[in-house]
Amino acid sequence: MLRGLKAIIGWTEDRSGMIGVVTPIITHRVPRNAKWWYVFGSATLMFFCIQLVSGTLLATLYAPSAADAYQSLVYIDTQVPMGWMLRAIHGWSSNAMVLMVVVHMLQVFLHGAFKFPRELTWMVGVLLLFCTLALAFTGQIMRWDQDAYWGLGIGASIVDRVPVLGNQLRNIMLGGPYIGGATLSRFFALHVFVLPGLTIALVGLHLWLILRNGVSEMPKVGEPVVPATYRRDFEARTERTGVPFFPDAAQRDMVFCGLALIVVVGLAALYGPFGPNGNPDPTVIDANPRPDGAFLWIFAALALLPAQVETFLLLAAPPVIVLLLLAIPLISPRGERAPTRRPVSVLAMLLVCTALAALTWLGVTSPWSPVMDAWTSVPTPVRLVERLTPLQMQGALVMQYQQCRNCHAIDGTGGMRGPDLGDVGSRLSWDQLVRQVQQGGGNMPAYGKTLSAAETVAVVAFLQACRTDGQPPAFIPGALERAASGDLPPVAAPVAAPPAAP
Amino acid sequence: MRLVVSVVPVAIGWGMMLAGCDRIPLEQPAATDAVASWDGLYMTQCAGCHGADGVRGPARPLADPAYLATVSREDLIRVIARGQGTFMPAMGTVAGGTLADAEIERLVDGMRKVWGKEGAALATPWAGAPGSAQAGGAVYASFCQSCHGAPDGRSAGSAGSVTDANYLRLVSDQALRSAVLFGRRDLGGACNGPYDGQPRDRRLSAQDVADVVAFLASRRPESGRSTR
Repeated sequence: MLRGLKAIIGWTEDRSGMIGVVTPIITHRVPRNAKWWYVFGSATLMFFCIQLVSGTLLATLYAPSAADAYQSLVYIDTQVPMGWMLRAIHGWSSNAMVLMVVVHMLQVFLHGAFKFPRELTWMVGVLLLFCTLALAFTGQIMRWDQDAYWGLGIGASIVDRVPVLGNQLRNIMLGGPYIGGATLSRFFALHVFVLPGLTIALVGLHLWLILRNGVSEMPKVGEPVVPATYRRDFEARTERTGVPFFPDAAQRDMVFCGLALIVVVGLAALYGPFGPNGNPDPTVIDANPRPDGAFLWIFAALALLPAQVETFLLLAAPPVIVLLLLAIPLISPRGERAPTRRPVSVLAMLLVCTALAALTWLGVTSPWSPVMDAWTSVPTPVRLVERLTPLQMQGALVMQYQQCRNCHAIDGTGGMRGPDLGDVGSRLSWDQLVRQVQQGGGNMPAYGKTLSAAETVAVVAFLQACRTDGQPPAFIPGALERAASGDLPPVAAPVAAPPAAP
Repeated sequence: MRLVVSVVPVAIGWGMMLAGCDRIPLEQPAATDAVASWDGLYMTQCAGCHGADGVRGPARPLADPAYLATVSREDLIRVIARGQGTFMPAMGTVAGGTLADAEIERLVDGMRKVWGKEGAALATPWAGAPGSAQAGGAVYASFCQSCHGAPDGRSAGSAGSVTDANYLRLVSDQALRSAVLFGRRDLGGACNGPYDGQPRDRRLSAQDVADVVAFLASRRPESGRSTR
């Protein structure tokens, strides 16, 4: 039996020579001190393999047409045995892959592993980063729900701003002037053919470059990279003190990959798949679309950009970021690798990480976003209701009915887009409140045409009652007598003058 | 030794995962249960105006046995689905809202079951034709004025004016009638409605209710009326 197997292997090896090629690759010597820091690249590769397998399985179930995509996801989630788990693993593993790419990249940057002779490895890695992000974005489109629709809408409107070519680029992206069936087909082709193929090719190149130039050692203070002598010294050191990649270094990779896999499968089992969240219908205005984790920081940055620089930064920033990342090893190909000797690099890295983390956090909590169902679900604080007059009660109803609460919190509940109104009565006088309600301003729409005179009086009367206990209403001394008259609305305020009956 | 170092974390990891899960879910848990229950619907669709527990919101309290027993199930469903021409929006899909018929029925049945009480209905019906405004003026003077102030607005009263022109522009006759019938006991109001708990001689008759509603409605300026 064993002899037969050996004969088959021997025959195959004689005709193909594969073992002779592969053995030196998996047993090539790597530096002994390359320990747990070096597992993230392998984990990324593992998640990519999981994506390939789970994605292939999903492709056998998914209907890539605008009419059926959403339903086919519901079908996978509810009808196919363990179909939801397949989607959950694909979704969670995608996020894990993005995370691992970023961690891997940070580790390489922190240890200066991109320096001579591994510049090209870094550049291919940067391309892989963008392939991974592109896969994540196009994967989000596959869900064909509200998030996908609005994500596409934002992408298209960014592309649309490109000077001269904008319209054509948008048509190429969407397969026409608007989001439709052709858009989904296009992104499906990208997601399952173009991007995975490209990624596989780049991963191959990345691995080849690693084999060719060796795995970098842990950086040591006082051992700068000198291109003229680096290769010779590195090879001598690895020959002397290195260990074979398999099984020595690969063990750690396997343990870490195993743990990461457990975490991802556990998250998938506990939290289930991502979406689909509601039909991709542009007329549903109470949609609260949100990009996936990897893009939340962009979502936040876009929301916070001042309008004047929006177009410029939208178009200028991406190429600058890509070129800068690609150019890092060219900017600094030699010298010290130890983080303690590269303070500017480390501080720059920390700055970028902090900015990304802060923007992602803002993207998750997005205080500028309206809460679309606050008007029916967020009660008026009882402390206020208990002291309202009948007219002020009607004003509180105007607040809810006009969906003011979607943007304005009272005592901390409600939307956070506008200021909290819990104490607005002690900040703005009656006339200031009337002006703000009627004319808007400071990002608030004008309600002058939406509200009747009676509604304006009622809502302003309510707003004036919105004060912390014991605070008097705000008034401008001498401006108008009625402001000082306390809670009571004016008996015949000018704004209340009824418009002439038609 | 090295083998132990590699295997132990993996084993611990698997063990923790299997022990932490009381089940490996085979069916995706239905995430929509919370919304489909009546109180879930109430919290997302009604609590904004009617208060978190059905009381102490700016709109009519719904956790009121007398109200739930006096208004028929059909009327409640109709008002929720189609609105009232006031700030009560039409919530039903029939009128452009988001609630399906079945959801509205579940909501009404849930409210009646949890907040309602057998035999709490008032003798005076929820809806009725307005009576005489002139007679209503006298009812107002003797039953309402001490808290809600004089109709001319000179004195406001502790409970705030209900004869204010802007207030009257914003409320319907039916809303006035409901306010007179059921009061705001959730806010500690001692309103002289006909509901239980009032001394018999302080209760309004059905005719008084119709008259005082007619009186209040007559104070409403015809112009500038808010219509929704």
